[in-house]
Parts: sequence; C-alpha cells; structure tokens
Amino acid sequence: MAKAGTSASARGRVDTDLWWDPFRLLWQLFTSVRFAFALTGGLALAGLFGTLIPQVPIPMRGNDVAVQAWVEFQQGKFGMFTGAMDRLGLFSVFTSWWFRAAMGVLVVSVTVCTANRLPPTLRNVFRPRERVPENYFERARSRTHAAEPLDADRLARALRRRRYAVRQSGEDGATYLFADRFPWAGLATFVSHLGLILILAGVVVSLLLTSEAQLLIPEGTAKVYGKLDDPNFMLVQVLDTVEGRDPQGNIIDYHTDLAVFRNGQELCRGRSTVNTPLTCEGFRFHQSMFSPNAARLLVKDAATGRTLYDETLVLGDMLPLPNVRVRDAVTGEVLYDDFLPLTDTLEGGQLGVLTLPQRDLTLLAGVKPDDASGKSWTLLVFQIGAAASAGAPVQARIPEGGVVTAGGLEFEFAALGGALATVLTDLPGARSALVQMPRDRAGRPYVLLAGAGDAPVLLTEGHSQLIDGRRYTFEGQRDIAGITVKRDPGSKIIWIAGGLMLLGLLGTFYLPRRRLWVRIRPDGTAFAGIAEPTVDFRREMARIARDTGGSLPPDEGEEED
Amino acid sequence: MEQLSIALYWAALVTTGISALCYIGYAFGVRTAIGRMATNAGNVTMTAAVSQRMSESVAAVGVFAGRLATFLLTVSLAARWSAAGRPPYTNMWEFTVAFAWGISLAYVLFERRYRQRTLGAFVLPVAFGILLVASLFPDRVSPLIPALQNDNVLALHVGAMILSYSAFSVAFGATAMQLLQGAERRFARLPRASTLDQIAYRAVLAGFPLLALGLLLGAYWGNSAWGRYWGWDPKETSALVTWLIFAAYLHVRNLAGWKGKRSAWVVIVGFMAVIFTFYGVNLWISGLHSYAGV
Repeated sequence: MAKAGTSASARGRVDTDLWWDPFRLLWQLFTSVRFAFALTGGLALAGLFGTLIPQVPIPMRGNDVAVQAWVEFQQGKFGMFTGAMDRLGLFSVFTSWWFRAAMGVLVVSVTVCTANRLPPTLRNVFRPRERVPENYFERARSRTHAAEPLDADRLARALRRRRYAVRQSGEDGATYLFADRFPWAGLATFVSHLGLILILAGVVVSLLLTSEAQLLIPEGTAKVYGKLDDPNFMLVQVLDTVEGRDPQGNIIDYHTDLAVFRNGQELCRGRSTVNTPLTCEGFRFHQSMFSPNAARLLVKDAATGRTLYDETLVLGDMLPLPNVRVRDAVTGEVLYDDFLPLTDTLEGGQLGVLTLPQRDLTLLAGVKPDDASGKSWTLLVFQIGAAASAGAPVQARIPEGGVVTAGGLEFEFAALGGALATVLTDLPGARSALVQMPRDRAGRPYVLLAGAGDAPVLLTEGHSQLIDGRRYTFEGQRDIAGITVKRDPGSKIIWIAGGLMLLGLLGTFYLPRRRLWVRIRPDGTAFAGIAEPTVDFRREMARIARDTGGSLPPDEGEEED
Repeated sequence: MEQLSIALYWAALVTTGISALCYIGYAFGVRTAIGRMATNAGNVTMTAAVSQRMSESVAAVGVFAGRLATFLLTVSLAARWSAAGRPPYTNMWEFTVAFAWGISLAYVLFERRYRQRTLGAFVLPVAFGILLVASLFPDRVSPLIPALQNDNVLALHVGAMILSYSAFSVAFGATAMQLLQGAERRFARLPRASTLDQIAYRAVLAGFPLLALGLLLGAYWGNSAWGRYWGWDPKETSALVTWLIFAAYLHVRNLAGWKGKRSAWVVIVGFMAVIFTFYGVNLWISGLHSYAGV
C-alpha cells in the first residue's frame, strides 16, 4: 500500500485517445483502482456465495453421478432454482471457471499495478527531490515556522539523532536542509504485494504438483502408495491406531504409529497425530480418519490347513438392520426379539430370513424406504411355503414403531439400526459375498457372511464355520486409520510469501517514514514535509524546532481534536 | 477457577453496561436533575428542578468502569485458561468473552492514544452486546478435541483473529460516530468527522496485519492438522472475505482518495463481515470449524 498517487493511471482514468490501443487500454484497466476495487468486491461476493450456499463435498468432486445425486438432493432447499444455480457453478464456486478466471485477473491486476508503481517509487526512494519550490513552504499540508534562523548544524545533528539522513545546501543567503527518514520503507508496499503474488503462485504450484492419496489402512496391515514403477512407490504400514477417550467418554486423542517402506527398506517409523503428521522423504502422513469398522476374516482349507484368505476388511457401507419383535397374538409369548440381519436385495429393499422355531415357521422379512429421502422405512413380512400352523399365510406391512397382527402373530418394527458391510469378489468359495458386522445385544461384533454356501452363516469372534470344505473364521473387529499421504511443494512458497506479505504490511503501516525540507533565512526557519497520514508531522516538526532553540506560535504542535 | 471465570464474566457484563451508559450520557450531554426543592407556602406547593449536563465525573466513571471491565475480563480469561489447561478459545462462550475482552482492551488503548472519550459511547455498547450474546452459550469448560490440541498455534491463531476483529470493532464505533456526526458536525460534543475518520483508519491499520497473521497461522495449522493450507471452508472463506473488504478499504482510501462517508461505509460492511464470520458461520453453517460451535 502506498500513499495516494498522482498519475492518471493510478486514478484509473482512461485517456480518450487510447481507444485504438488495446494493450494500453488493458494496462490502464489493470492499473485502475476502481477496477481493482470492483474485482476485489466481486471476489468477496463470490466468497460470500460460496459460504452461504452449500458446496459439493470434496470427496464427491470428479464423480459425476455422486455430484448429480447431491445436486438433486439440494432441490429440497432451492426448488426450481437448483438447476440454474448448478449451471452457474454456485454449488462449486471455488472450482468454477469464472472464479478461477477472476483469481487469474486479480493476479494480473496486482502484478500490473505493482509494476506500474515501481519505477516512480524507486526514483522517489533513491533519487529524492532534495529541493522544493519556495512556495511549498507556504502550502505544504504539514508545515511550521520558527521566528528566528536556527543553527543549521545543530538542526542537522538533532535530525540525525532522530534517524534522519540529512543533506545541506545553500543559495542566495539561505541554507536548505533535506532530511529523509526510512526512505526505503516506501518499498515495503512492493514487498507485501510481492508476497501476495507469491501466495497465488504457491497455490498454482500446489494445484499442479501436489501428490496426494487417502489410504484406509486397518491396524496391523499395509497399503501401497503410488505404482510399482513410480519412484515414490511406498508401502505404508499401520502398526497401531488409537482413539483415546477420557473417563467421561470424550474423545481426547487420535494417533497412529506408522512404518514406511520402499524397496523392502524401512524409510521411517513414527507417530502421526491429528496435529503432528509424520514427515518422511518429503511426504507428510496425516492422521485424517479413525474408524473401528474393520473385520479380520480368515479362510483355510479344512483338509490341509492351508490359509486361502487372510484379510482385514474395511466395512465402508451401511445396511439397514431392523429390530424386530414377534409375539404370539393370544398368549403374548415373545417368539423373536433381536436385530434381523438382511442378506438379499429385492426391489429396492433389503431382505432376510426370519425363523421362528417355536412355530416351525420361516418367514421372509425386509425393509424398504418409503421414499427417496430414506427418512422413514417399512418392515415387510411374508410367509414362504405352507404354514405349519393353522390360519391364513402371514403377510404384513409394518411402519417403523408400529405393531401389526397377522396369522396369529404380532409383529413389531421396534427400530431401525445399521450394520456395517462390504461386498467381496475375491473370497474363496464365493463369486460375490456380502460381509456384515452387526453387534449383538451385548455389543459384541459378529460377522454375517452371505454368498459362501447356500445360506448365510453367522461367525462369532474366534469361532469357525465349515462351508464346502473351507473353514471361515472371524478373527475379530479391527481399527482402521485413515492416512492422507501428501507432498505439496507449493506450501513452502506459501510460508515464505506469507512472511513477505506480513513484513511488507508492517513496513508500510508502521515504519515511521518522513521527508522534511527546511529553509533557514535571516527572517526565520520554515519547515515543510510529508509523512504517512497516520502521523501528526506538524507536531513533530514543532518539537524538532523547539529542541534546536526555535520559538513557535503558541498553538503550534497541539494535536487537533 | 472455572466458577471464578464465570463470576468475573458476569461482573464484567455489569461494569461494561455501566461504562457504556456513562459514555453515552457523557457523549450526548444528557441533562440530569441534580436537585429538587419543594416548599409549602400556604396552600401553594412549589417545586423547582435544577439540571446540568452530565459532568466530566460521569465520563470518569465510564472510563473507570470500562477499565475495570477490561481487568475483570482479563482475569476471567486467565482463570479459564488455568481451569481448562489450554487457551480459552475453544467454544462459543470462550470466543465471545475473548472478543469482548479484545474490544474493551482495544478501546482502552485507543482512548489513551487519541483522548477521545466520547468514542466509548459507540464502542462500549458493542462490547456490552457481545458480552450479552455470550450469556446465551454454555459456559462450562469442555475437553479439547484432538484437532484443537495445539496450544501454541491455537493461542496465536485465535488470538490474532480476536485482536484484529477487536480493532475493527473500534473502527466500526468510530465510523458509526463519523456517519452520525456528518461533515456538518451535528453534535458539538462529538469529535469532528475527519478526526473519527483518522481513528477508524488507524484502527483498521492495527487490525488488517493482525487478520493477515491470523489467516496465515490458520493456514499453517490447517496444513498440519488437515493436510492442506486452504480448503475454502466457510469460516476461512468468510475471514478472507473480511480481509478483502478491508484491503479494498485501504486501497480506495489511500490510492483513490476515498475519505469521509464513502470509505466509512466500506468499514461498516467490513464489520458486518466480521460479525458474520464470528457468529453467522459458526451458528448456521457447518464446516471444519464447526467444533467451535455452541
């Protein structure tokens, strides 16, 4: 930031004879303060839109289907305007072409403004005007006058004590002093603008050169970062990942102990917390997520004992898990009261088998969302095969929280929970297997495996089930660490640029820059000068004059109200 | 210590209110009855009231109460820091009390520097309003979530933001007064509009680099905790918008010569952006800073 400039360009005027010269017109435009103000205001407004209007979540970006679904969801909020807002890029303001274009124009504008002001400022700093016209002593905004001729040498010494560089000259019986303090502070504004330009350059470097990947790594396992032919190829192993809680159950700590390997050699080993990522070979390993939602599954050949499959599965999906109660409608005897795992899909709903051994009855039960929002669900119950008991086949639709009687049984859809799940295509003995990890009433996790064998099997922790000559074992629930691996060469530029910008701002605003001209004649001593608008330079001049024996009018040096 | 910090907050709320009232009375020259005489003369009752402008002593009470409030808030925040074992900037109650502390501290410094007591009539009510808002938020100390467990950066980043917003609040007070005063000097007791314009400008000069520092420290912290120095999170975007508004103010004032009403309105818009960043984003918009909510 510099003081008010006087050139036509600095004031944003466009000369009328420049209409034919597009480059000069552009130069005029980019050096116009009004244009910079409008541009800054426009960017501020865009920022406000981006703050007030929901933006497409970062993980969805690049996934057209997910983005479309998200935009459709916004129709509930913005109604008929949703489409137009989407086309205008208002749901992705900061990645829209027009926002990036405006940022680019801002960079050009700041650069051109800085370049435009640099030559006159350099002249002003290194070749200052040491003499001013005589009438300047009568019209300068900051000026004062002592009644007597002050001693030039004494005045020069007083000024030097105040860190002024003083030059003295004489002409026609008058002595002139030119005193300059912190003249180079005039360059501080360029330092701050250079910092701003470098920040934006750092952002561009980050956008172009950042390497980043999000790895979900179950405890005790490793994942690959990069490709085998990539020189940055690394194996990231999670040794331990912890979610710490205080006695009240508040989460107070997340940390992961990591080891990083390349070509079989361990590169680094250390701890990554939320605030202190592990740094290794120029990469940073950030603790970005923690989840207890992984299950270790082991498959062995029953005959030979050979391990066919040993994986810790990340259960990233959530399937509906209804809490169902079935009673005898007459006696009130409870026949079933538990969460019912659903293992099949049918017409947009999830389906499972509900067995009531007391009645020798097997039912199909499932849940279906009532609408696209998925806020309310209905439990459906059908009887398959002939009913062992007398009466009509069971068939019921039960809303969440409701109770319906059918076939002499009372069905209650008590609540809807969720089961963690994933689909496997590489599980031995299954073309496609659905693995769920619900919890029982005691909170213990168990695995429900559908797709291996004819019927779904239930695996409790540490126990095995034999299916078609293979032994399937649920080894237990495991924790997962979300590790963001990142190398961003732009960030170093940002810190240097930010430091420059701050230094520039401090220099511009707080270095007490002064320029003073003094004329000593037999009839008195005149002071005139310029300083930043935040200082009362007239008062300072009066003090200097008094210190060197000058007498001033009584009101001189008093601060205005 | 937690109880002490809460008790001191309530005491500061009362003293800030008293201070604001005294400053308003002083600035606008409210007349007050200082004596009432009544006599019975036969069947006639005579009453005479004598009034005069609120004196310097009322202003002195305002000054004392304002400084006392600053002291009480300082001790309240120190007690909070001690009770929580980390800087007192991690929920809305703490932010809000710290913001009010910053405003009253900035005001005390500006009043000492520029000797314009009437400015308190516009700044202290802002501090009082902010303290009233704090009473709406839960005031209990809560454990620090892992993302905030970086005491040094937390203290510096949030501290810089609070101090910058406080300086902008002083600028807002001076600007509001400037607009009320007008070029025609409507109120003899208030400073000239040009003086208020200068005070607002100097307050912005104090707040602007602090906001830049706060943004940079936030970027540094974000780079450590989230793996990126900028992510267009609503809170950081809103703070950047505030910075841009004040950058525009400094440029149009210094380069295009905007002074008086035109530049004053830019400060008012900037202060609205401060309030939106401080409260609007935290209370109504979810983002990575949402843990700083109620």
